[in-house]
Amino acid sequence: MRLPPFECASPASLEEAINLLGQAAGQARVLAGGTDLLPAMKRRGIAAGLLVNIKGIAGLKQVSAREDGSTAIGAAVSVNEVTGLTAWPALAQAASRVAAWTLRHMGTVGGNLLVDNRCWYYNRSGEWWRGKEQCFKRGGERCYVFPSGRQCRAAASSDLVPALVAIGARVEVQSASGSRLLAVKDLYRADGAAPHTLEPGEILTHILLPPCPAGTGSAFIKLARRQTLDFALVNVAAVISLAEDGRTCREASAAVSGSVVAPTPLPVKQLEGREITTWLLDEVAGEAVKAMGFVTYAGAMDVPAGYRRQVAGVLLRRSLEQAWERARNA
Amino acid sequence: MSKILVELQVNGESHELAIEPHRTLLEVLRENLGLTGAKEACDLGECGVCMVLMGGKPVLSCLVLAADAQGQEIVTIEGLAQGGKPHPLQQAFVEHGAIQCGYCTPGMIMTAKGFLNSHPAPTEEDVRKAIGNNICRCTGYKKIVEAIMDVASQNAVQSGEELAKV
Amino acid sequence: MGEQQAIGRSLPRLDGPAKARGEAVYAGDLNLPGMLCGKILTSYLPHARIRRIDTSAAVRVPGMKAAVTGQDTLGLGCGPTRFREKSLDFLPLARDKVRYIGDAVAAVAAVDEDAASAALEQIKVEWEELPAVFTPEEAMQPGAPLVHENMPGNISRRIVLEGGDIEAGFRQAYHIREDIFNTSSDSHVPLEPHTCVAKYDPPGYFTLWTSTQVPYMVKSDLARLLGVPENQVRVILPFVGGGFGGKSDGVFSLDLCAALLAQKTGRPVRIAYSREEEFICTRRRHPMQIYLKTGVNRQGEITARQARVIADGGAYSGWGHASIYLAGLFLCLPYRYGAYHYEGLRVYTNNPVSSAMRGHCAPQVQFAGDVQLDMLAEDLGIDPVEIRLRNALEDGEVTAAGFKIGTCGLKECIRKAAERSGWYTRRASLPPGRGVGIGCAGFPSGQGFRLRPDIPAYTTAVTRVNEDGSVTLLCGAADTGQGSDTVMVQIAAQELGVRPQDIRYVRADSDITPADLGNYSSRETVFAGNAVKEAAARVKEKLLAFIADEWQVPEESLEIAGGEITCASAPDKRISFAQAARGWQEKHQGKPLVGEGTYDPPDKKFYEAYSFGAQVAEVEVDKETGQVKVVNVVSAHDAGRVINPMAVEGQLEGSVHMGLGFALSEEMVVRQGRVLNPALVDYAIPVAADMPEVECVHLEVEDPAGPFGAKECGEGTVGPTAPAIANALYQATGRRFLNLPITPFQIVKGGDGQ
Repeated sequence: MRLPPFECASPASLEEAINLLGQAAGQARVLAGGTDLLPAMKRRGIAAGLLVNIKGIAGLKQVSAREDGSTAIGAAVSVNEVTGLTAWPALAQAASRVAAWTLRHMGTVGGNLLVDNRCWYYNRSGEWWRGKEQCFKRGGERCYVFPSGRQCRAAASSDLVPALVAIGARVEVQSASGSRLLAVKDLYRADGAAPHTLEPGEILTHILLPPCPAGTGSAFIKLARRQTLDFALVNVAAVISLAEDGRTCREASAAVSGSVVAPTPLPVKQLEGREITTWLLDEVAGEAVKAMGFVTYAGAMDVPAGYRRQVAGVLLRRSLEQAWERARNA
Repeated sequence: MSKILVELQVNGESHELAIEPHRTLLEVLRENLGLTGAKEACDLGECGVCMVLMGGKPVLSCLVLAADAQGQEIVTIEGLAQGGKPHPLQQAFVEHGAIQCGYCTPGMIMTAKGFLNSHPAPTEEDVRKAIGNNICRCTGYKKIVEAIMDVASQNAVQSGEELAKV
Repeated sequence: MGEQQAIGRSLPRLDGPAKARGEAVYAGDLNLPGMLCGKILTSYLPHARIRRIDTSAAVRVPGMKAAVTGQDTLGLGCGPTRFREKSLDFLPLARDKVRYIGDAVAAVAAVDEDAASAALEQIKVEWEELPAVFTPEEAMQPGAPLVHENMPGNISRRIVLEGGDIEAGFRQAYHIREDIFNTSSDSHVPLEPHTCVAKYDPPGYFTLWTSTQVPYMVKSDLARLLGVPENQVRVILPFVGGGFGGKSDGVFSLDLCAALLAQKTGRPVRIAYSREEEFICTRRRHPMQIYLKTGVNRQGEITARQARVIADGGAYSGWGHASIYLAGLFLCLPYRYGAYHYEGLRVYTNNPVSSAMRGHCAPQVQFAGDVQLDMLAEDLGIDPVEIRLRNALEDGEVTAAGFKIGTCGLKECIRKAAERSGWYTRRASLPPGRGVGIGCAGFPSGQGFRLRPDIPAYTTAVTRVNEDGSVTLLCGAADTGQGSDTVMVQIAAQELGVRPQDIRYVRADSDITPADLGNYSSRETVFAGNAVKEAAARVKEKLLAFIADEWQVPEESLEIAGGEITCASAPDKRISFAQAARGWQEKHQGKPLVGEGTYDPPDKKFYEAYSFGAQVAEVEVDKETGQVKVVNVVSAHDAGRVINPMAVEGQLEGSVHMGLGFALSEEMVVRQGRVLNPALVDYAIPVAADMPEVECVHLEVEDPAGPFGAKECGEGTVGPTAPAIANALYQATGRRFLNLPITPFQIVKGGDGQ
């Protein structure tokens, strides 16, 4: 399978990259690891006249501490590097479950945040689609997985995002008109055809991790068919901070991806101010997964939605338990 | 699409090529340089047969633009043997029966090489995960893992001996 | 002897170094001067008439050299089971009609892949869409659309097998069970997709390098499809990146298209299937619905077994006419039945084509048979190992389907597998969520019935001793990765008393090597091995006769081993193999010292030798998520005398891997005739970290039918894995799983019965 023709630019600075993206009027794409973009282009799912390669921009390849105590991870830092960031175990766990070691070394953090939503129809080649009416995500007007649906239900498939959402991480986005910060969860919208909220000309430059407060534990669990290589059926991450008494929950958060169209925070605030017990975690988890709303199975159509929701509850309970344990030992 | 001039360092040799920007490293290795050791089997980064080393690290050459490989030392399976002597991984794969049809072998060996470069003393589980992007349909992976572990332990012995000398 | 023995040794495979260096040349690595890139346009409709194909716009694409359609062919069908005219229904390039999404309708050759792809997009096909059928049930409905107009009811083949009085067998039963099992649409997924290079030399000679298991079938079929005499087609076997049955159907679309395009352009043409095409346009395992009724007496001995199998054959026959028969035969392995009745229905649908895949229908029916035996054992309160021992076939028995078993080490396999896995101790003490299960299987070594009247030989070999005493072994057998080349060399070396490294093996090349039916049905070790042994023996005879004459000693007193000939009655006499061969040649005016061998199986109906195996699997289940970890598998196998232990282990370990995928994760999901997951990231072949510990136990039972007592290995052993896992899951969950693959969802759902 060959790539379609395109031009490629390798700017040495962020300014130059932003200029190139601005000039291309939506016809350009940022190329980093290439592990998601290039297959999509080979399959003729994504078209671009210009690829702006950001791997030559030194500032995007560093992990640095910022004055406000946050950690800034450059968008072009490899996913494997994140497995070594120990401040937030949930994030390191998530990073270590991305695809496989070789792909993690090629793939970048920014790329993983912006990994395209997946669907067994969309993820097929141009040849496979020959003679077939295009789906929403391929610019058409229909969905084959959910024929009555009015929009694309391709699945959000990043492994890092649920961890980042639960942690409360933010991203820094730059464009010709300046930079803005947004919460990771606001990077997504529930439309599989256009799942990211970045504007044309904008480039995701950094992921900002807050410092991990005292008495805080975090955990991540991925459910996939195989130990490596697979995209998630369900991903869940949870964070629990304990009050000074070591028993009461001060703050809790959780998020899910894999079976949802946009990575979704899960409501576990009921835990806050209460003394944590396994029984309580079970109850809260069971309730919280209802917030997943529409459960999609477009990314692996042989695994039904009901099962995914049920398992999301199990994973949430387990990740809360694990986060709780880590919080107690923090 | 206009062509661009690219200079590639492959297996210690320099090649100057005029190629289109959308050519992958795999295409250039196989079609322009005649290095067919890296195989083509999915072209989407899902199988691992096209693995080569770029700057000492394994990359799926079907997902690397040839132009991006400029300025980096590239090693393919053909460049692994030194002075006519097979690399210990090549030797171990043969001796352990880690090769059957052989189609995954070059990619598997290059992944192992890249992994051992940065993880000289892995556990068996580490190795199983490291080759997690390399599909083998013949062997059940057992002998592949044994071959890699054998080389890792040889390395450990060697580095131990070197330490002892110091 | 020891060191001098060529067999029984873990000789590293001879092509290993070239493969490890990346120098082994596969079809896609060939680069001939002027070579063009070919691509195939496939049908996107499951069932349609082709009204018109317009290639005029395609030919104008820059770089495009030629296009071919069905109109450029003779319109002949083909298939591997040439003995049945009705099975020759596959047109590698469709003419009037397409029958599944993936049928080839046109092909182009261009200077590069980009131009070929651009040209394909310019081909316009006018279709008349036809109603389609996607399940055997739909296809068998009265009035259903016909996939092949000459095949009423869409019945590709119906077959009934009977052994004994089935009614009486059920009357004798103390207990009877009826269950329905379903198996999945499994794909071979060789790492190397089908690839070929065709070259045309005027006035009419074709050369084809193709990744196939059956080079001589390709040669014969291609000649017939092209309408040229067979001697105008030469098929050369490059290194092949795996087959598993998926490259055993003879000519595939790419072979014919490349040949036609090479003829049309006068330039070599390469066609390589993409991974998607490999999934969709080649072949798959027959998905089956298996109704099984079994009666047992109080001791758990099977008094009667009745089966009805409905197989989704997809659009064409492939090996299917054999497959549906074999399913009935193989269900009688590895157990003894008082009486047997089998009805098999292979049904055409507008789905991808089903054909042979490793185990050729045995894994499906043996899964059903072995899981049901486990259920019967439980019903009767008999230990699963014990009920298998009571029903296991033994030396010299005849199965309910008529197989005459030679040697059978099954009981010993069962005992060994149970012992090594700690069956009697561990099983009782496992924590919740853990389980141990056993599965058994048997499989033949090479088939005796003649499928191919067009090819006179089963398998043949020639050994030639060169001037320097080195040996060249010419053999048409096709090593597609399993290691038969090395085994052939070991067999020849053993017979000739020389070192394996003194033998050069020449892979199949129809202009050079003698004919062979190919690599399928676990033929190579027994069939090709016997032919090679004979070819070597003929040389040995000539040499020994010559030396006996020279030394004036009786031939029987001579021994050939360790690279030399010695004489028991004259210990001072010895001559090296090389000198002896040189002497022979000098005496015979330099005539080549050649030996010929063939293997003509005595049993023309069935088989000569059968392998057997038992596996015990231990699983760990996460009941809440349904995730299964297979912790370990003990695989005890009777493969006869083991020629190369390391190669046999590789086969056994690989078969556990394929069996694991078949049991738990692999399924081509086909909806409305369309494969939805034709990609390695969506079709879940187990990765390295998914593999259990595998322990192999070789049982060396020498079988007189095989060379030095060897039998097949590695195909039959796909069979026990899925039932062993399903039976282990029963212990772990208390639930029975009758449908494959057993996904986490199935486990959370609670399976298919208690």
